[in-house]
Amino acid sequence: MTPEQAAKLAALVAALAALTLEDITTIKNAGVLGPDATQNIEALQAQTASIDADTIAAWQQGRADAGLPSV
Amino acid sequence: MKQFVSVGCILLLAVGCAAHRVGNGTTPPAPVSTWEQVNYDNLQIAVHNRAVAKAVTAAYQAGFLEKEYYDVISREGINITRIHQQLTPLLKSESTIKGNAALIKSLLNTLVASAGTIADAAAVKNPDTRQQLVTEAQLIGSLANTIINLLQGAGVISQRCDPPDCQCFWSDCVVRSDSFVGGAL
Repeated sequence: MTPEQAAKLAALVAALAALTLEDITTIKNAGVLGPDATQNIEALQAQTASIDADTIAAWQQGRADAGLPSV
Repeated sequence: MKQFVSVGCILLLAVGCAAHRVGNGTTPPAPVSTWEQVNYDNLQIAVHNRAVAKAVTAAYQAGFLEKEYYDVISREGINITRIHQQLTPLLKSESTIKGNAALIKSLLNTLVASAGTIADAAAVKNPDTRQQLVTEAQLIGSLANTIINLLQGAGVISQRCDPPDCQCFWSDCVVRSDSFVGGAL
């Protein structure tokens, strides 16, 4: 592996590890529920919708950056 | 580096567990309802699905994934997310879940089947990145199956799936996993 490839790999691994830790925190915090089941479900629903919107945006931006058409 | 990524994967697997309720210190907290647990597991699907989007995009941008594969995987990823966006509002209450049981079952089975195609890991050159994607895909499928089991336990879904998508043994039917990405890469 060349030094340039090693640097790229290190950057990629660091990015993946950071995302995983952030996601762990999101999951952990969302699992701590208050006393009202209805409010809990509403909060989980809202957070889920927000994350899915992030995901669509991430894919579409990635495709745009790659010169691929949006779908 | 490889050890750090592996530890991250193990931590991620350990986190995919049950929600819990905070007590007020004087009386024991009420148990978490099936509907809350279903929504919590559904949120976890969203989190892992987003992680796949970011990981695959980062892999492509770092040169570890060919453009043609990024095109295919991102299309599938967007499709899966749109399916999940249809599923989430159907889980908002006990009555909504029971009134849409067949559609929920169909959407969950689609997520289980599609989880194996999210990470076409053979297209990713780097072994650590490939394993990360396989882990995420397996977790998405596992969480969708957990929701199916919860709804079966609550009597909302009588059977997990219908042939020909199913392999049934007596009354226990599971989604066929012919295309599921396993450990053999």
